[in-house]
Order: sequence, then C-alpha cells, then structure tokens
Amino acid sequence: MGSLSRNARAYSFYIFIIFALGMLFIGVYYISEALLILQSGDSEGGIFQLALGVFGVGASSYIFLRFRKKMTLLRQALPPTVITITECKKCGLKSLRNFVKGDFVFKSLDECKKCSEPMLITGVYAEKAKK
Amino acid sequence: MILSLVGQESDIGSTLLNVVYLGSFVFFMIYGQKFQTWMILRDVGNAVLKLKTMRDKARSLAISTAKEVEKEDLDPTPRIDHFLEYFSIWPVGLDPGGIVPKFEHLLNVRDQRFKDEVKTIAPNADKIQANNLEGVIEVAIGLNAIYRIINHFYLLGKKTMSLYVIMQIQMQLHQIMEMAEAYSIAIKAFADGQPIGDGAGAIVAAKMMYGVPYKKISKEIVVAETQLDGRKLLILKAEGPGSTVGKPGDGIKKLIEEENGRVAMVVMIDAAGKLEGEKSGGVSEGTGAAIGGIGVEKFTIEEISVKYKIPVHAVIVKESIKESVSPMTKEILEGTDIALARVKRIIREGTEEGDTVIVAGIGNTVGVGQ
Repeated sequence: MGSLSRNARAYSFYIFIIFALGMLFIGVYYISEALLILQSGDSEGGIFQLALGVFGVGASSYIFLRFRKKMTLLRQALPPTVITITECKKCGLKSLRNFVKGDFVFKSLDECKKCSEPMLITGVYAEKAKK
Repeated sequence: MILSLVGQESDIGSTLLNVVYLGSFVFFMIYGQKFQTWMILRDVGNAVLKLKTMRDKARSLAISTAKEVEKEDLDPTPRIDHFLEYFSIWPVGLDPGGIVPKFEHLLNVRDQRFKDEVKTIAPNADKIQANNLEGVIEVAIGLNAIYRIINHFYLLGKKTMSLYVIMQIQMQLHQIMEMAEAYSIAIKAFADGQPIGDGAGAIVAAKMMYGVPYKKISKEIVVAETQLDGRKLLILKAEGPGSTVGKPGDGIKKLIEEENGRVAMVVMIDAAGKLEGEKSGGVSEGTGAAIGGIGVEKFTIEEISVKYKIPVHAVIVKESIKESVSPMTKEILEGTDIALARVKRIIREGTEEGDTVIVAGIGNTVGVGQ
C-alpha cells in the first residue's frame, strides 16, 4: 500500500467536501434565479434554470450521502459486551455478570449464595455494542 | 459565440456557471469511465486500509495471546509472522474418484502442522490454551489472506486503471468487509475462549450430556451415554472448552460400528446459514447430514448411514455467516433450547423404547464445556 498515505486520503476527502459544497451553492443559486425568472413570466428560461439548480442540489446531496455510507462502512465495529449466565441447578438462582476470561459453558463456579450448591455457567452470549 | 450559445450575455457570473455545466457534460462523456474507476478505487482503497488495520490487530493479538499462554521468555513474533501466510494446495479434481481420502489426508496434515506450530510457539500451553491459540492463529491467517487478495486487486486496478478489474472486487466488497469484520471480532472471542455462533450444535449436545461421564471416541470428539424415555442416547460433540471442531464423522462411524449398525437414528445439530429476512436463532429440521466444511466428514457420515440404512435427521439453528464466527448472540443461545426440544421430539416420535440413537452436536466448541 505504498502510495496510499493517510494524508493524501485526508486531502482528497476535503477536496470532495469543497466540491460538494460548491455544487450545493451553485444549485441553490440557480434555483433562486429560476424563481426570479419564473416570477418575471419567462417560464421556459425559468424551468431550464430550475432543472440545473435541482441537478446541482441533487448531485451534492448524492455526494454527501455516499460519504455518510462510506463512513459507516469504514467505522470499526465496536466489540460486543459479553455476558455470562450463572445458575444454581438446585434452587434455580440465576444471575448475569460480565464475561471473565476463563468462563465457559458448564463450568462449575463458587457456591450459590442461597443454598451453598456450586453455581454453574449455563450460557455466554454477546450483547450488541451500544453506538 | 460561447456567450450566445449559453445565453444571458449580460450576466457574466451565470455565463461562467453555464460554461462549467456544459463543460462537465463534455468531461463526463470523455472521462466518465476513468472517473468511475477512480471513485471505485477510492472505495476499495479505503477498504484495504481498514483490512490492513484489522490484519495488524489480529497479528498483534495472536502474538500477545501466545506470549500470555507461554510463561517462558520465548518471542513468538517471527514464527507467527512466517505462519500468517500458510496455505494449502487442494488436490487435483480432474479425476474425482477417490478425492475425499486425498482431502482427508491433506486436512489431517494441515491440522497436525497447526498443532505442531502452536506447540513450538507456546510449548507450555495447556490443551485448552493451545486449541484457543490455534483458533486465533487461524483467524489471523484468514484476515491476512483477505487483506492480501483485496490489496492485490486494488493495486492491479490502480496499475491498469481498468474498470473491469476493480469492479470484480468492488461488487463483493460489502460481503467481504462484513466477513472480515466478523473475523476481527471472532479473534478476540477465540483469545478469550468465548462461545461463537458456530457452537450452537455443541451447546445443544453439551446440554444433553451434562453430568454424565464421557469418553473420547475419535480425534477431539467425546461421547456420553444417557437415556431418554427408554432410548439409549449416545451424545457426541467436540471436546471443549478449547477451540476445535474435532472429527465428528469418524466418531459417528465408530459408534455405529461398535453398535454393529443397530442404531435407529442419527440426529445432527448444527448452525446453518439463514436467508436474509429470517430470524437469527430460528430452528428448522430436515433430513441429511448437517455438517459444513469441505465435505470429508459429511462423506464419512453418509457412507456409514447408507451402509446400515440408518436415517439421518438434521436440526439447524439459523444464523448469518457473520454470526457464525462472532461471539454467540442471545438469540442463538435461546435457539439452542428450542433445538434441544426439537431433538427430543424427533427421537420420541421416530424411535421406540430400547432403540439406540446417536445425537451429534456439530460445530466449534470454543467456550463450551461438557
């Protein structure tokens, strides 16, 4: 990935943003011009200007949407929260806690707080990370 | 002349903008494809950057996991770096007769090579740690392979500026990135010994065999004998809680031969790919050997079941490909309870008291004991 430097990508990102903002500005300008022309009674010229303006706004919106999508694609996935379910097979006491390295399903743990029987891990699952 | 073409001769600003618009049409007519190629290259380039980060993280995690399990002062970095580009050459398929034993041999050699490598990297690791480290290294190799392939197409596309070269990868980029992301999360699960989605079958089997003595039946496969309404159940799964899938095909074959073919039914439980729109953790049942992989294990099970005319039933827990290599979700865990109930119903309805039934929980047993 020799030529693919992060700085170069950052610069091209800013160029794209400036380009999109420029398109948006031109689009808005044309729409406002179109409205003035339409008010003066020149419907043909007004519609042409309006079409150009809508195209400009549409193109800039498309560029922004693409960026948003790309940012979502590039965002690193957050690691999920992993929960361990512990259960007492005798009295049915069930509790949830965060996963600790070394936990596995059907591992016997310390004694149950209620009946002094060993607790058992009956499940380990991941919860989706909150964004 | 240009001014008369674009109109509004008096307004120089509007004229300039009109010229820019008309110019852009000409530009896109001539350079449209190049521009599209450049846009796609940017997309793929960003993905390559992300994959590189994932690959580097996976490598670091493999090294740190190896250092953690190996108490002695051995530096695993050079060995892991060498091993990241490990590959397998599949046997020739020109003459398909007898290809399965070739695959089996190749996979056995590969598996043994991985175990030997882990032993060299971390000679003092216990069995569970060694299996988990093997899982971590396998995922790191997978991520490295994805990065290298995507980078290859990216550089090739850049070199040739060919839309068709770069489009091949761009069309699949979303799925590839999803898979790489899942691998990236899975590597942590292997390092910490957390159950993954693929372990749904192993959990169902573990629920059925918990509290019953078990023995080893084939490579990394354990079996326990229990009863269900007068039926003898032989439950097998990969030996947990370390990361392994074992060789369930060999286990089932051995059990059937030990019973002289007098087995009323084989029920296999596995995680299987869901279709888009289907609920994760949903359970379905069907007929046939529910087991993934290249097909060696499936072949063994099919051969022996045909020989003794034993019906093979399948119960699957649905999940996406991404979920199958990611830490197990709550929906999939809940699905294992539904699958367990289905297995019991199939046995009760399909067999009689005194019959012998083999129940095989298929999948990676990382984080699942017995």
